[in-house]
Amino acid sequence: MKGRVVCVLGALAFGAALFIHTTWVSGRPVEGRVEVIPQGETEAAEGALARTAQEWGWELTWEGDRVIIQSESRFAAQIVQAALENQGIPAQVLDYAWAPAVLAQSGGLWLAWGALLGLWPLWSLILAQVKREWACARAALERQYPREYLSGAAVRLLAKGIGLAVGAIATILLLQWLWRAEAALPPGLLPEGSVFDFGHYRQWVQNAFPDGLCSPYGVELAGKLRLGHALAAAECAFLTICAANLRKTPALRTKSDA
Amino acid sequence: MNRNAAKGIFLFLLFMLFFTFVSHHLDVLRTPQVLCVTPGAGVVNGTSYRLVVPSEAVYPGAEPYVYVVEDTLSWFYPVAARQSPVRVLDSGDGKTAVDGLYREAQVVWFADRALTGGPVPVRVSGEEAP
Repeated sequence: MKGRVVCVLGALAFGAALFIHTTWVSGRPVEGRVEVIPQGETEAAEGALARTAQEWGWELTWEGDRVIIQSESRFAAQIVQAALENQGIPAQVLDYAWAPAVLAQSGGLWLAWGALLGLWPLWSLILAQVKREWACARAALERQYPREYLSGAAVRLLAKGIGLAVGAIATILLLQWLWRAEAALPPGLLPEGSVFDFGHYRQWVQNAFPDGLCSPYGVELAGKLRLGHALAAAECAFLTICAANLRKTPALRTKSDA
Repeated sequence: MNRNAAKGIFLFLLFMLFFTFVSHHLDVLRTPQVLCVTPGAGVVNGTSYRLVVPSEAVYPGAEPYVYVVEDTLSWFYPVAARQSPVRVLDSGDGKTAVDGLYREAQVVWFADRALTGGPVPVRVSGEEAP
Protein backbone atom coordinates (compact mmCIF):
# COMPACT_ATOMS: atom_id res chain seq x y z
CA MET A 1 0.00 0.00 0.00
CA LYS A 2 2.81 2.38 0.99
CA GLY A 3 4.62 1.55 -2.25
CA ARG A 4 1.54 2.44 -4.31
CA VAL A 5 1.12 5.77 -2.53
CA VAL A 6 4.77 6.65 -3.13
CA CYS A 7 4.40 5.57 -6.75
CA VAL A 8 1.34 7.80 -7.27
CA LEU A 9 3.04 10.74 -5.51
CA GLY A 10 6.14 10.22 -7.66
CA ALA A 11 3.99 10.19 -10.81
CA LEU A 12 2.24 13.41 -9.74
CA ALA A 13 5.55 15.13 -8.98
CA PHE A 14 6.90 13.93 -12.33
CA GLY A 15 3.83 15.32 -14.12
CA ALA A 16 4.23 18.68 -12.37
CA ALA A 17 7.95 18.90 -13.25
CA LEU A 18 7.22 17.95 -16.86
CA PHE A 19 4.45 20.56 -17.07
CA ILE A 20 6.76 23.30 -15.76
CA HIS A 21 9.49 22.15 -18.11
CA THR A 22 7.22 22.13 -21.15
CA THR A 23 5.59 25.48 -20.47
CA TRP A 24 8.40 27.58 -18.95
CA VAL A 25 11.53 26.26 -20.63
CA SER A 26 10.67 24.46 -23.87
CA GLY A 27 7.51 26.54 -24.40
CA ARG A 28 9.56 29.71 -24.98
CA PRO A 29 12.29 28.65 -27.39
CA VAL A 30 15.49 30.64 -27.80
CA GLU A 31 17.15 31.25 -31.13
CA GLY A 32 20.70 30.16 -31.89
CA ARG A 33 23.10 33.04 -32.36
CA VAL A 34 26.71 34.11 -32.45
CA GLU A 35 27.65 37.36 -30.72
CA VAL A 36 30.64 39.36 -31.92
CA ILE A 37 32.12 42.10 -29.73
CA PRO A 38 34.48 44.11 -31.97
CA GLN A 39 37.56 45.39 -30.14
CA GLY A 40 38.42 48.16 -32.51
CA GLU A 41 36.87 49.51 -35.70
CA THR A 42 33.25 48.46 -35.61
CA GLU A 43 32.62 49.45 -39.24
CA ALA A 44 35.39 47.20 -40.51
CA ALA A 45 34.01 44.34 -38.43
CA GLU A 46 30.50 44.95 -39.70
CA GLY A 47 31.73 45.00 -43.30
CA ALA A 48 33.61 41.70 -42.92
CA LEU A 49 30.69 40.07 -41.13
CA ALA A 50 28.10 41.36 -43.61
CA ARG A 51 29.92 39.64 -46.47
CA THR A 52 30.18 36.36 -44.53
CA ALA A 53 26.55 36.55 -43.43
CA GLN A 54 25.45 37.10 -47.03
CA GLU A 55 27.51 34.13 -48.24
CA TRP A 56 25.96 31.83 -45.64
CA GLY A 57 22.47 33.31 -45.68
CA TRP A 58 22.55 34.56 -42.08
CA GLU A 59 20.83 37.57 -40.58
CA LEU A 60 23.02 40.31 -39.09
CA THR A 61 21.81 42.78 -36.46
CA TRP A 62 23.32 45.13 -33.89
CA GLU A 63 22.49 44.85 -30.20
CA GLY A 64 24.27 47.52 -28.17
CA ASP A 65 28.01 47.10 -28.61
CA ARG A 66 27.83 43.76 -30.37
CA VAL A 67 26.94 42.25 -33.73
CA ILE A 68 24.42 39.41 -33.59
CA ILE A 69 24.38 36.67 -36.21
CA GLN A 70 21.29 34.47 -36.12
CA SER A 71 22.42 30.93 -36.88
CA GLU A 72 22.15 27.44 -35.50
CA SER A 73 25.14 26.17 -37.47
CA ARG A 74 27.67 24.25 -35.42
CA PHE A 75 30.45 26.01 -37.30
CA ALA A 76 29.02 29.55 -37.32
CA ALA A 77 31.39 30.84 -34.63
CA GLN A 78 34.45 29.38 -36.37
CA ILE A 79 33.35 30.82 -39.73
CA VAL A 80 32.83 34.25 -38.16
CA GLN A 81 36.17 34.06 -36.34
CA ALA A 82 37.95 33.10 -39.57
CA ALA A 83 36.30 35.96 -41.49
CA LEU A 84 37.44 38.45 -38.86
CA GLU A 85 40.97 37.02 -38.67
CA ASN A 86 41.30 37.15 -42.45
CA GLN A 87 40.60 40.89 -42.28
CA GLY A 88 42.86 41.30 -39.23
CA ILE A 89 40.00 42.54 -37.04
CA PRO A 90 40.30 41.73 -33.33
CA ALA A 91 37.00 40.70 -31.75
CA GLN A 92 35.57 38.42 -29.10
CA VAL A 93 33.16 35.80 -30.42
CA LEU A 94 30.54 34.21 -28.16
CA ASP A 95 28.96 31.08 -29.59
CA TYR A 96 25.36 30.26 -28.65
CA ALA A 97 24.41 28.52 -31.90
CA TRP A 98 24.04 25.27 -29.96
CA ALA A 99 21.47 26.70 -27.51
CA PRO A 100 18.16 25.60 -29.14
CA ALA A 101 19.30 21.99 -29.63
CA VAL A 102 20.66 21.64 -26.07
CA LEU A 103 17.59 23.28 -24.49
CA ALA A 104 15.20 21.16 -26.53
CA GLN A 105 17.17 18.07 -25.54
CA SER A 106 16.80 18.82 -21.82
CA GLY A 107 13.03 18.54 -22.31
CA GLY A 108 13.39 15.01 -23.70
CA LEU A 109 16.00 13.54 -21.34
CA TRP A 110 13.28 11.90 -19.24
CA LEU A 111 12.26 9.88 -22.30
CA ALA A 112 15.65 8.16 -22.57
CA TRP A 113 15.87 7.59 -18.80
CA GLY A 114 12.24 6.43 -18.68
CA ALA A 115 12.89 4.02 -21.54
CA LEU A 116 15.79 2.47 -19.61
CA LEU A 117 13.75 2.34 -16.38
CA GLY A 118 10.76 0.88 -18.25
CA LEU A 119 12.82 -2.24 -18.87
CA TRP A 120 13.03 -2.82 -15.13
CA PRO A 121 9.28 -3.39 -14.39
CA LEU A 122 8.81 -5.01 -17.79
CA TRP A 123 11.44 -7.70 -17.22
CA SER A 124 10.46 -8.03 -13.55
CA LEU A 125 6.94 -8.85 -14.75
CA ILE A 126 8.23 -11.31 -17.34
CA LEU A 127 10.52 -13.00 -14.80
CA ALA A 128 7.73 -13.21 -12.21
CA GLN A 129 5.37 -14.79 -14.75
CA VAL A 130 7.99 -17.29 -15.95
CA LYS A 131 8.70 -18.35 -12.34
CA ARG A 132 4.98 -18.63 -11.59
CA GLU A 133 4.29 -20.78 -14.66
CA TRP A 134 7.32 -22.95 -13.94
CA ALA A 135 6.09 -23.58 -10.37
CA CYS A 136 2.53 -24.26 -11.63
CA ALA A 137 3.78 -26.72 -14.26
CA ARG A 138 5.98 -28.58 -11.77
CA ALA A 139 3.14 -28.90 -9.29
CA ALA A 140 0.63 -29.97 -11.96
CA LEU A 141 2.93 -32.52 -13.57
CA GLU A 142 3.18 -34.41 -10.29
CA ARG A 143 -0.47 -35.45 -10.62
CA GLN A 144 -1.22 -34.95 -14.35
CA TYR A 145 0.14 -36.11 -17.71
CA PRO A 146 1.76 -33.32 -19.78
CA ARG A 147 -0.95 -33.54 -22.48
CA GLU A 148 -3.68 -33.15 -19.85
CA TYR A 149 -1.88 -30.16 -18.28
CA LEU A 150 -1.27 -28.48 -21.65
CA SER A 151 -4.89 -28.89 -22.77
CA GLY A 152 -5.94 -26.84 -19.74
CA ALA A 153 -3.14 -24.27 -19.73
CA ALA A 154 -2.39 -23.93 -23.46
CA VAL A 155 -4.36 -20.71 -24.03
CA ARG A 156 -2.86 -19.05 -20.96
CA LEU A 157 0.69 -20.13 -21.88
CA LEU A 158 0.22 -18.99 -25.48
CA ALA A 159 -1.00 -15.57 -24.33
CA LYS A 160 1.96 -15.22 -22.00
CA GLY A 161 4.31 -16.41 -24.74
CA ILE A 162 2.97 -13.71 -27.05
CA GLY A 163 3.43 -11.18 -24.23
CA LEU A 164 7.04 -12.34 -23.80
CA ALA A 165 7.72 -11.99 -27.54
CA VAL A 166 6.21 -8.48 -27.58
CA GLY A 167 8.30 -7.54 -24.53
CA ALA A 168 11.47 -8.87 -26.14
CA ILE A 169 10.81 -7.00 -29.40
CA ALA A 170 9.99 -3.80 -27.48
CA THR A 171 13.26 -4.17 -25.54
CA ILE A 172 15.29 -4.65 -28.72
CA LEU A 173 13.66 -1.64 -30.42
CA LEU A 174 14.16 0.48 -27.34
CA LEU A 175 17.82 -0.43 -26.97
CA GLN A 176 18.33 0.24 -30.69
CA TRP A 177 16.71 3.68 -30.32
CA LEU A 178 18.88 4.48 -27.30
CA TRP A 179 22.01 3.33 -29.17
CA ARG A 180 21.26 5.48 -32.20
CA ALA A 181 19.92 8.57 -30.40
CA GLU A 182 22.33 11.47 -30.84
CA ALA A 183 23.01 13.71 -27.88
CA ALA A 184 23.51 17.43 -28.44
CA LEU A 185 26.30 19.16 -26.56
CA PRO A 186 27.92 22.55 -27.10
CA PRO A 187 31.20 22.27 -29.05
CA GLY A 188 34.21 22.09 -26.74
CA LEU A 189 32.23 21.18 -23.63
CA LEU A 190 33.64 17.65 -23.43
CA PRO A 191 37.32 17.68 -22.44
CA GLU A 192 39.95 15.90 -24.54
CA GLY A 193 41.11 13.83 -21.58
CA SER A 194 39.12 12.62 -18.59
CA VAL A 195 35.42 13.48 -18.47
CA PHE A 196 35.93 14.12 -14.73
CA ASP A 197 38.14 17.14 -15.41
CA PHE A 198 35.86 19.60 -13.60
CA GLY A 199 38.30 22.46 -14.13
CA HIS A 200 37.67 22.17 -17.86
CA TYR A 201 33.90 22.55 -17.38
CA ARG A 202 34.39 25.61 -15.16
CA GLN A 203 36.67 27.12 -17.81
CA TRP A 204 34.13 26.34 -20.53
CA VAL A 205 31.34 28.06 -18.57
CA GLN A 206 33.60 31.07 -18.03
CA ASN A 207 34.38 31.23 -21.77
CA ALA A 208 30.76 30.79 -22.84
CA PHE A 209 29.27 33.17 -20.29
CA PRO A 210 32.11 35.57 -19.42
CA ASP A 211 31.59 37.81 -16.39
CA GLY A 212 30.72 41.35 -17.39
CA LEU A 213 30.50 40.51 -21.11
CA CYS A 214 27.34 38.46 -21.11
CA SER A 215 24.40 39.98 -22.99
CA PRO A 216 20.84 39.82 -21.56
CA TYR A 217 20.30 36.91 -23.97
CA GLY A 218 23.31 35.09 -22.49
CA VAL A 219 22.10 35.65 -18.92
CA GLU A 220 18.61 34.37 -19.82
CA LEU A 221 20.07 31.38 -21.65
CA ALA A 222 22.28 30.45 -18.68
CA GLY A 223 19.22 30.60 -16.40
CA LYS A 224 17.16 28.49 -18.78
CA LEU A 225 19.93 25.91 -19.09
CA ARG A 226 20.22 25.63 -15.31
CA LEU A 227 16.46 25.39 -14.80
CA GLY A 228 15.96 23.03 -17.75
CA HIS A 229 18.60 20.57 -16.59
CA ALA A 230 17.54 20.80 -12.93
CA LEU A 231 13.98 19.94 -13.99
CA ALA A 232 15.27 17.13 -16.22
CA ALA A 233 17.19 15.69 -13.23
CA ALA A 234 14.06 16.00 -11.04
CA GLU A 235 11.95 14.25 -13.72
CA CYS A 236 14.47 11.39 -13.90
CA ALA A 237 14.55 11.10 -10.08
CA PHE A 238 10.74 10.96 -9.85
CA LEU A 239 10.65 8.33 -12.61
CA THR A 240 13.20 6.25 -10.69
CA ILE A 241 11.08 6.46 -7.52
CA CYS A 242 8.01 5.35 -9.51
CA ALA A 243 9.84 2.43 -11.12
CA ALA A 244 11.36 1.30 -7.79
CA ASN A 245 7.94 1.28 -6.11
CA LEU A 246 6.21 -0.26 -9.11
CA ARG A 247 8.69 -3.14 -8.77
CA LYS A 248 7.26 -3.83 -5.28
CA THR A 249 3.68 -4.37 -6.52
CA PRO A 250 2.42 -7.99 -6.12
CA ALA A 251 2.13 -8.60 -9.88
CA LEU A 252 5.88 -8.05 -10.28
CA ARG A 253 6.94 -10.08 -7.25
CA THR A 254 7.61 -13.75 -7.11
CA LYS A 255 7.05 -15.86 -4.03
CA SER A 256 10.79 -15.88 -3.25
CA ASP A 257 11.01 -12.06 -3.43
CA ALA A 258 8.10 -11.73 -1.03
CA MET B 1 24.25 -18.33 -1.93
CA ASN B 2 23.67 -19.40 -5.57
CA ARG B 3 20.72 -17.03 -5.80
CA ASN B 4 22.82 -14.15 -4.49
CA ALA B 5 25.63 -14.98 -6.91
CA ALA B 6 23.17 -15.05 -9.82
CA LYS B 7 21.74 -11.69 -8.76
CA GLY B 8 25.25 -10.25 -8.46
CA ILE B 9 26.20 -11.48 -11.93
CA PHE B 10 22.94 -10.13 -13.36
CA LEU B 11 23.49 -6.70 -11.80
CA PHE B 12 27.09 -6.67 -13.00
CA LEU B 13 25.98 -7.41 -16.58
CA LEU B 14 23.30 -4.74 -16.31
CA PHE B 15 25.84 -2.15 -15.19
CA MET B 16 28.18 -3.23 -17.99
CA LEU B 17 25.35 -2.72 -20.49
CA PHE B 18 24.62 0.72 -19.07
CA PHE B 19 28.27 1.77 -19.18
CA THR B 20 28.58 0.42 -22.73
CA PHE B 21 25.77 2.79 -23.73
CA VAL B 22 27.38 5.72 -21.93
CA SER B 23 30.80 4.94 -23.38
CA HIS B 24 29.36 4.61 -26.90
CA HIS B 25 27.64 7.99 -26.66
CA LEU B 26 30.72 9.65 -25.19
CA ASP B 27 32.77 8.23 -28.05
CA VAL B 28 30.29 9.60 -30.60
CA LEU B 29 30.26 13.00 -28.92
CA ARG B 30 34.04 13.14 -28.87
CA THR B 31 34.34 12.21 -32.53
CA PRO B 32 35.04 15.51 -34.32
CA GLN B 33 32.28 16.77 -36.56
CA VAL B 34 33.67 18.39 -39.71
CA LEU B 35 32.46 20.75 -42.39
CA CYS B 36 33.90 19.78 -45.76
CA VAL B 37 34.56 21.66 -48.95
CA THR B 38 35.46 20.43 -52.42
CA PRO B 39 38.42 22.19 -54.03
CA GLY B 40 37.50 24.10 -57.14
CA ALA B 41 38.94 26.49 -59.69
CA GLY B 42 39.36 30.04 -58.46
CA VAL B 43 41.29 33.26 -58.58
CA VAL B 44 43.87 34.14 -55.94
CA ASN B 45 45.67 37.50 -56.12
CA GLY B 46 44.49 37.97 -59.72
CA THR B 47 45.77 34.62 -60.99
CA SER B 48 43.54 31.69 -61.93
CA TYR B 49 44.25 28.32 -60.35
CA ARG B 50 42.78 24.86 -60.88
CA LEU B 51 42.47 23.95 -57.18
CA VAL B 52 41.58 26.56 -54.59
CA VAL B 53 40.56 25.82 -50.99
CA PRO B 54 39.72 28.13 -48.07
CA SER B 55 42.86 29.19 -46.18
CA GLU B 56 41.51 27.72 -42.92
CA ALA B 57 41.62 24.25 -44.51
CA VAL B 58 45.39 24.37 -45.01
CA TYR B 59 47.65 23.53 -42.06
CA PRO B 60 50.76 25.62 -42.72
CA GLY B 61 54.32 24.62 -41.89
CA ALA B 62 57.41 23.25 -43.58
CA GLU B 63 55.23 20.56 -45.16
CA PRO B 64 51.72 22.00 -45.49
CA TYR B 65 48.80 19.60 -45.53
CA VAL B 66 45.03 19.42 -45.54
CA TYR B 67 42.73 16.83 -43.99
CA VAL B 68 40.85 14.78 -46.57
CA VAL B 69 37.77 12.81 -45.53
CA GLU B 70 37.52 9.27 -46.81
CA ASP B 71 35.38 6.19 -46.18
CA THR B 72 36.97 3.39 -44.19
CA LEU B 73 36.24 -0.31 -43.81
CA SER B 74 35.69 0.06 -40.06
CA TRP B 75 32.18 -0.65 -38.76
CA PHE B 76 32.57 1.66 -35.79
CA TYR B 77 34.31 4.52 -37.62
CA PRO B 78 33.04 4.50 -41.21
CA VAL B 79 34.57 7.89 -42.05
CA ALA B 80 38.06 9.17 -41.24
CA ALA B 81 40.12 12.22 -42.09
CA ARG B 82 43.74 11.72 -43.14
CA GLN B 83 46.50 14.22 -43.69
CA SER B 84 47.19 14.87 -47.36
CA PRO B 85 50.34 16.89 -48.15
CA VAL B 86 49.83 19.77 -50.57
CA ARG B 87 51.99 22.36 -52.26
CA VAL B 88 50.83 25.91 -51.63
CA LEU B 89 50.95 27.90 -54.89
CA ASP B 90 49.45 31.17 -53.74
CA SER B 91 47.44 32.58 -50.88
CA GLY B 92 45.29 35.65 -50.27
CA ASP B 93 41.84 36.97 -49.34
CA GLY B 94 40.98 33.87 -47.36
CA LYS B 95 41.78 31.49 -50.22
CA THR B 96 44.76 29.27 -50.94
CA ALA B 97 45.69 27.77 -54.30
CA VAL B 98 47.12 24.28 -53.83
CA ASP B 99 48.55 21.42 -55.82
CA GLY B 100 48.49 17.73 -54.88
CA LEU B 101 44.76 17.15 -54.37
CA TYR B 102 42.26 15.40 -56.56
CA ARG B 103 39.23 17.40 -57.66
CA GLU B 104 36.56 15.39 -55.81
CA ALA B 105 38.45 15.37 -52.51
CA GLN B 106 36.39 16.24 -49.44
CA VAL B 107 38.69 18.68 -47.67
CA VAL B 108 38.01 19.49 -44.03
CA TRP B 109 37.32 23.22 -43.68
CA PHE B 110 36.24 23.43 -40.05
CA ALA B 111 36.16 20.84 -37.26
CA ASP B 112 34.44 21.25 -33.89
CA ARG B 113 37.39 19.53 -32.19
CA ALA B 114 41.05 19.83 -33.05
CA LEU B 115 42.30 17.27 -35.58
CA THR B 116 45.76 15.93 -34.82
CA GLY B 117 47.88 13.13 -36.18
CA GLY B 118 47.12 10.39 -38.67
CA PRO B 119 43.71 9.12 -39.74
CA VAL B 120 41.20 10.63 -37.33
CA PRO B 121 37.65 9.23 -37.12
CA VAL B 122 35.24 12.04 -37.98
CA ARG B 123 31.57 12.68 -38.60
CA VAL B 124 30.74 14.73 -41.65
CA SER B 125 28.27 17.52 -40.97
CA GLY B 126 25.13 17.68 -43.08
CA GLU B 127 25.62 21.42 -43.55
CA GLU B 128 26.71 22.60 -46.97
CA ALA B 129 29.41 25.15 -47.55
CA PRO B 130 28.43 27.99 -49.94
